[in-house]
Amino acid sequence: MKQLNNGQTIPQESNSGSTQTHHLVDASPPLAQSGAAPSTNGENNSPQAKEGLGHTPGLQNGQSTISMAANNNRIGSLAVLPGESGDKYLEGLISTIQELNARSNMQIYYAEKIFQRMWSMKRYEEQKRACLIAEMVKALGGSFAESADERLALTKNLEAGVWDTPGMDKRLKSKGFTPQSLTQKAFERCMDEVLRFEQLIAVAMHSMIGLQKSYESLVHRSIMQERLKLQNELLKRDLQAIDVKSRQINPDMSEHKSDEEAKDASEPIKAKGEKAFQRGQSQDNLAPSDVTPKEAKLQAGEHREAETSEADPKKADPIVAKPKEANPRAARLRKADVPVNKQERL
Amino acid sequence: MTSPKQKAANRLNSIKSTGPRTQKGIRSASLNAVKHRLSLPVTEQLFGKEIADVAALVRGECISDQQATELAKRIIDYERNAQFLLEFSTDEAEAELQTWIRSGPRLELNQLVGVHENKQKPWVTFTASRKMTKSKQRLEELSFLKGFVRIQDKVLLDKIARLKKTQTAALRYQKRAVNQLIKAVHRLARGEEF
Repeated sequence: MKQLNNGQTIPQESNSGSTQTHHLVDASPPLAQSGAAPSTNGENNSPQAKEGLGHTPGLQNGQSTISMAANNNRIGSLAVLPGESGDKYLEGLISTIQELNARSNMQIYYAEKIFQRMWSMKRYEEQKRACLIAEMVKALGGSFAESADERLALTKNLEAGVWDTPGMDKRLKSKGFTPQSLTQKAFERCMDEVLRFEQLIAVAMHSMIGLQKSYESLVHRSIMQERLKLQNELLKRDLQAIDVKSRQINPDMSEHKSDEEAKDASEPIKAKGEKAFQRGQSQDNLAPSDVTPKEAKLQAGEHREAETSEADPKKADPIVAKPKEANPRAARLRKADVPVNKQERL
Repeated sequence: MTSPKQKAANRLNSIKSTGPRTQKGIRSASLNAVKHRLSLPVTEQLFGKEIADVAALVRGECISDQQATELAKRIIDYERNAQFLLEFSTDEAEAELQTWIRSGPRLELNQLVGVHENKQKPWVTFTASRKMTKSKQRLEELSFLKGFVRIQDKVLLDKIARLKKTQTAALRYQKRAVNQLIKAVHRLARGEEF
């Protein structure tokens, strides 16, 4: 075994894991050179993974070509630490690339970064768990006479979640713990570390979300550009509408016209009022005299408005007065008296 | 807000200043210009080859050479941050501290402290014997021993604290690098220059 700069080890090339990944990687150097230590348990014999990597042109030594170039083609700069499976890493990376349908160099690089974030999040979770288990072992052990084998057996039991063996029961009872209280004790003891891991997970999650979003924008670049074009068109159209001449109302005709238009506008309202009145009658079974009909209210309102419009032509019906400007947006802009180049930006 | 008169007075007074005088102050001021290595910008002088390689790989997706170079710089910045954090560890310093705490000399010094406190006869003394009462001599020896152990501990604890500070700064730089890369890609997608 040879030590790499991260403390990672190169396994013997005769191992099944390293020879499998040999075929998979696009460029011929073995995966072990890149620092990923393949597992020897042969978990990763899936032909899909082999095929996947065979068709992934952006990968080199288990890394995207861009990250290799950015690290000056340095070997051993991978995110796989001792104790982690290089095969699993590679499999996950390939499936992420396939899932995201990454094709170009940049897309593959991004997919790799997204997967690395996920990988590190998983690592922090595992470390958090290992930390708790170590504290549990400390709480359950504690005697100097205890051998390393016993501690190892206890750790393995706790990792596997085996609580119901007689040996474990005996240990728990001798130390005065229940499974729940033991967990609580472990949490209490390594709360600082747990919090640190939680923070790291949160940071990783945050940047992963950012990376995913920008990946989406990178992939759907053409759609995005099309959308921006359409938005510009819309803005242009709105600005052209400013030049449309507003309708001038003849002050002599305004009274007659407004009366007529008010009549036209109030007709659907009247019909609505009648309908609502009928509905109210049928639902509540009230006598017509008990209910003030909306129609009556509306008529009263009309009379009032008519009076006011006669007295002051400026206070005419708002429904009628509104269509003075063809475009409300243009009106707003004109009101603000914004210069033309600023309007374009708006 | 400081008045112009006060400003002028401050400037005049600052001319009279001769800078830090104590050794600690001088040492501290000498480190004023020292920066975290990750805060250095990615330039052609330092990363010429890497920038050229990465720019060639991403050129197909960029609208200009300049954009490709800028994107390459951001990618390299992100990568060097990630690399730094991957290689960074406080384990060595912590192990050094643990070794010192459990080391024979430290245990012996602590035992000597206990001996002096219990007014027993020590097997070794460090301070020069002068004409003074036994109790005073004992106190002097005690303060020397305690001070020595404290200084040794402090050196190692400071080292760990410094490393943790560096790590925090590296995390901050990494966050910045990620954000800049994300922004660059968003602009790339919109077809804008950086």
